[in-house]
Amino acid sequence: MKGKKGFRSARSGGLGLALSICFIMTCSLLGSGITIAHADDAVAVKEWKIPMLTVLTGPVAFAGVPAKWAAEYAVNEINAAGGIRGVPVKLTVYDTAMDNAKAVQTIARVIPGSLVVLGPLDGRGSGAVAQQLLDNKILSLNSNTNATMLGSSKPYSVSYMQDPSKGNVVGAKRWFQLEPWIKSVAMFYDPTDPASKDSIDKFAANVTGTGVKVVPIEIGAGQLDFGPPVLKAMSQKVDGYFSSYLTPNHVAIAKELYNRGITKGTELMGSMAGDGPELFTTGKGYLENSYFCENLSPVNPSPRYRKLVEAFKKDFKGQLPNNTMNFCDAVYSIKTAIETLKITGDPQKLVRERKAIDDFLYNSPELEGLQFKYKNVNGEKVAPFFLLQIKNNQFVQISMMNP
Amino acid sequence: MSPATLVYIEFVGVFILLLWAVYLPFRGGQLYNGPFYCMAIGAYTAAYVTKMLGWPSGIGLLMAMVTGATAGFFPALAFSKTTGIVTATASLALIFIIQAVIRNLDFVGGAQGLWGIPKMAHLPIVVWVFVAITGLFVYRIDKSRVGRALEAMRTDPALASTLGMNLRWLSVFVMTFASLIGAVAGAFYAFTMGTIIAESFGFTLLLSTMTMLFIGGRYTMWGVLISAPILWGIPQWIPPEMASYTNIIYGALLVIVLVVRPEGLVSREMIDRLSVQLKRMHRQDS
Repeated sequence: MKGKKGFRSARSGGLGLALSICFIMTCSLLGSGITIAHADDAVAVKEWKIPMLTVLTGPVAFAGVPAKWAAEYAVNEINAAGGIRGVPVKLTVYDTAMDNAKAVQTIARVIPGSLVVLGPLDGRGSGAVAQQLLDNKILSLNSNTNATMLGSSKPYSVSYMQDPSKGNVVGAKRWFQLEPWIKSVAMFYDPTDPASKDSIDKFAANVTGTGVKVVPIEIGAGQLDFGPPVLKAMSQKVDGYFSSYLTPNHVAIAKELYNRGITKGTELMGSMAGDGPELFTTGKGYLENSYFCENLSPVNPSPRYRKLVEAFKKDFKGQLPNNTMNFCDAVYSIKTAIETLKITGDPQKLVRERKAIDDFLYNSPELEGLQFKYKNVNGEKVAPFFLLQIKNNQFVQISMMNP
Repeated sequence: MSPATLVYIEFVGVFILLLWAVYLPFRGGQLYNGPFYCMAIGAYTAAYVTKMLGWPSGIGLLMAMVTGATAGFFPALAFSKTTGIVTATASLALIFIIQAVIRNLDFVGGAQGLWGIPKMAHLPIVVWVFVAITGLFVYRIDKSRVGRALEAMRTDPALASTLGMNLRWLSVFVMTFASLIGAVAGAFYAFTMGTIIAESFGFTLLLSTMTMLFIGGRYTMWGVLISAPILWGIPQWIPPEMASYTNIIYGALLVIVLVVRPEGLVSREMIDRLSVQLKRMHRQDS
């Protein structure tokens, strides 16, 4: 009897011990926030394949190559930290050469099996692939930066950076506050470039409230001599000059102005299209005290950004990174979406998971960026802008402005 | 069939049409860039009619043909009086003119372009039916008195003139017909892309097309059937890491072909020999 009682007692004691251990383990796990993944949430892929369409050859390769670098940098960081949901990321980069037909052909090639696409980098390519995005209901993080451009592929486009046109307006308003003697501004723009055209339209519409008069000055595509348009601008007797041009053209404009007596520097403002390394080489001396509006501050002190800057300078022979570093944020936003939504990559769930990622990123929660927190609102990246000034041939941050 | 394959088939069809449009005046010794300018007109006409007016794609295509032929006829009257480098350079100006005009027309989207162009149903099939029909026309022109007159015009315009050929009206006819084909290519391009901007019909397109024409064979209509699929397909088949070298590959192919085989991959002699061979085989069979 005693043996049976003893056995029963030992059995119940053992059971109680097992139950207690289970109870303690469960509490620990719940307390630590770790949940045991349901089988349905298990990652079904060996690597997350993310295609990227950028311009590696052609007119904007100076932006496309750093964009590729930024995406690869983010992917390397993510993989070094264990990947997304424990699975590494594989970025495959395709060159569209800023050719719309190539962009359409390439995106048709990469869409099958993809959850999301990065790019195209250029605005025209981003517009060209709109129909493919709509037909396949797949999200692209691209250069459609404003409502007009986003409308062509709504809701399957999310801009990878803030709207430069908005930035120009925000930056210009701050510029007018800092230099209150500016009552009229000549704005140089390229009528053949949709983004530049959009810039001038928004600029003219939104700065009139400041009391500053805007005088648009067209510079044709392929213009080599900027003397005539600069003379035309000066003949309008304006106080300031704004250029939304690429860096070589912006530097050329600055030189023409400088050589004609516009030497203070504070009369000139450039946009984020003109933030290339030529500002400090061929433009040295001609741009001192001039202003720039940017969507990433090149002098941001955050350790994470400084680490990126050093890595970039090492790979690009001392050059400073430009606003295509926003592709880092784009890659990380995809990571956040996959982790939050517990995306599996299962081909059977492709349509559902594409939609989930699209819904998540099109109107996103607050996301952590390289330099600031930001949100996507109807596909548009809403984040601060920075007003910079060139002092002693380098950028100095003057203001951070909310849109 | 995968979306990428369908898009590839559509683009190859568009390029073949455009190449035949460039080939026809070249047959008569004229390097005429009018088809590119009419491609823009055809594309925008088809896009405007289908997207803004909401008319069916078939009507859009028809309107593109009408506007393309009309827009091609008037410059052809002027260019029929010019030859050689003058025709090539002056007709190049048409491309820049039409781009500037389009950018200043707000009702076709201006610099922003036109997007959301409705896709034509069964587009790949329609494109290739038109390729077949156009190919038949081009073949018939090639084999007809017109084709022989073009050959004479290319070889010796002065002699051709003394033989009673009206070179001016021959040029007008060929250039207008080429413009019509260019406009059709433009309409199909618009339906394939879904979005068009003025810059799409510029120098890049001109260079790609000329490369295909010269590599395929500029003295026969058959070469483009080889060069267009190969050259358009290269970026799709090579690994993405090598995609940046596409232009180098094109350039290298062009130089190699021009050095080793200046007449292109498919020459007239090759076609004539093949034709004789086929006739012999047919006679033996019968």
